[in-house]
Amino acid sequence: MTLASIGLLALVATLLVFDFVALRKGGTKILILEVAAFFGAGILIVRPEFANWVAHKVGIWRGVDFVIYPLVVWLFRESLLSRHARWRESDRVTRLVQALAVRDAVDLSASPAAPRLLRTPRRLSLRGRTRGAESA
Amino acid sequence: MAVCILMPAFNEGGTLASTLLGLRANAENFGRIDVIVVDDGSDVAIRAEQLPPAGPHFTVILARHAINLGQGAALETARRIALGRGNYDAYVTMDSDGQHRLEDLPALIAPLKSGADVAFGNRFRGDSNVPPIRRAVLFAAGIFERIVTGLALQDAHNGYRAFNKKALTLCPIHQSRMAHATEIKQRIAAAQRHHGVKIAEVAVSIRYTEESLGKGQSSLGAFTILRDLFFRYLFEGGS
Repeated sequence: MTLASIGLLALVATLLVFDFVALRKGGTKILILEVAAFFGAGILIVRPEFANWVAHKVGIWRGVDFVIYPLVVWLFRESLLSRHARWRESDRVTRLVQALAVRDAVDLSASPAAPRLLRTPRRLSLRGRTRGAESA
Repeated sequence: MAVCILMPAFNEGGTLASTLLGLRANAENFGRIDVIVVDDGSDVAIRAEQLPPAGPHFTVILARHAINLGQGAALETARRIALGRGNYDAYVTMDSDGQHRLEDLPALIAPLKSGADVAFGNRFRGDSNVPPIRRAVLFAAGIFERIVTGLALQDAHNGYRAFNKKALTLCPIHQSRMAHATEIKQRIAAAQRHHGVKIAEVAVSIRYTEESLGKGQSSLGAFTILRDLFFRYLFEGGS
C-alpha cells in the first residue's frame, strides 16, 4: 500500500467513526448507506487496479477518473437541489410568520387595556401574497 | 391628506420612539398619519406602552414577526396591513432609526399630488453626508440596477419612498432581506411599462450617524444582495 492510500483509508475511517457517534440515534439508515459506500471506496483505495480495469473497459484512461466524473456531476446536482429545498422551506416559514403578524397586529388607538385585533381571527391564508400583481 | 407610514423596526431601542414622537407632533399638518410598525423579531419585543399614544390625527399599528426575517419581509407585512386598512393618499416606507428626516416628508409626497404614482428619495441631491466608500458602492449598484431594472435613478438604495395605492398594490415584496430595494425597483419598472405608473425622484437628506453606519448595511452586503437576487431568479416560480 502506498502512503496516499494509507492516508485515504485513515480519512475514511475517521469520518466513519465520527458519523457513527453523531448518527447513532436516528441515523441508522444513513449510517448503513455510508458504511456501504465507504466499503466500496476502501476497496478502490486498496486495489486501484480494479477501477483501472473497469475504466479501460468503458474507454476512460484512469480508474480514478471513472469514479470522480460521475461523483462530481451527482454532487453538483445534489447541492443545487438541496439549496432549492432549503430556499423553499425558508420561503414557507416567511409566509407563515408574516401571516401571523398581519393577523395579530394591534391598533394602538383602541383601548390600551384591551388591545383589539384588527379583524377577527380567521383561517390563516398562507397564499396571502397578491398573486395577481406578480404577473405585472 | 392621509399618510400611512410603513416602518420596519429591529432592535431600535430609543430611536423608534423619538421618530414616532416627531411624526405624532406633526400629524395634524399632514391631516392624518398612521404608522405601521413591524417589529422584525427584535431580541426584546417592542411593547405598545413604549410607543407614543394614539391621538386624533395619529395612531400606531404594531405588528410583530415571531422570528427575525429581514427588512424586506417586514415591509411586506406592513404593506399587507396597510392595504387592508382602506384608503390613504400616500404610503411611505421610512426607517425607524432616524436617518430619514421628517422635514423631507412633505417634499417626498408632493409628487403624488401632481400626478406621480411613486416617489423615490435621492440622497445625492439633498444635503447628506454620504461616506466616500458608501458613495462608490451606491454608484456601482446604480449601474447594475439600471441594467437589471431599466430604471435610471440616481440613488440606488434609498429606503425613503412614497407610493399611492395603485403603485403599492403593484409592488409585492418577496425578497426578505436587503435585496428588496432592487426588487421594488424591478416591480415599479414593470408597473411603469405595463400600467403606466409614473415615477418621480425627490431630493432628501440622509443623516449618517455612527449608529446607523454600525448597524446598517455594510458595503460587503452588496454581495449578499447579488446572491439573494440570483437564487430568487433561479428558484422562484418553479415550485
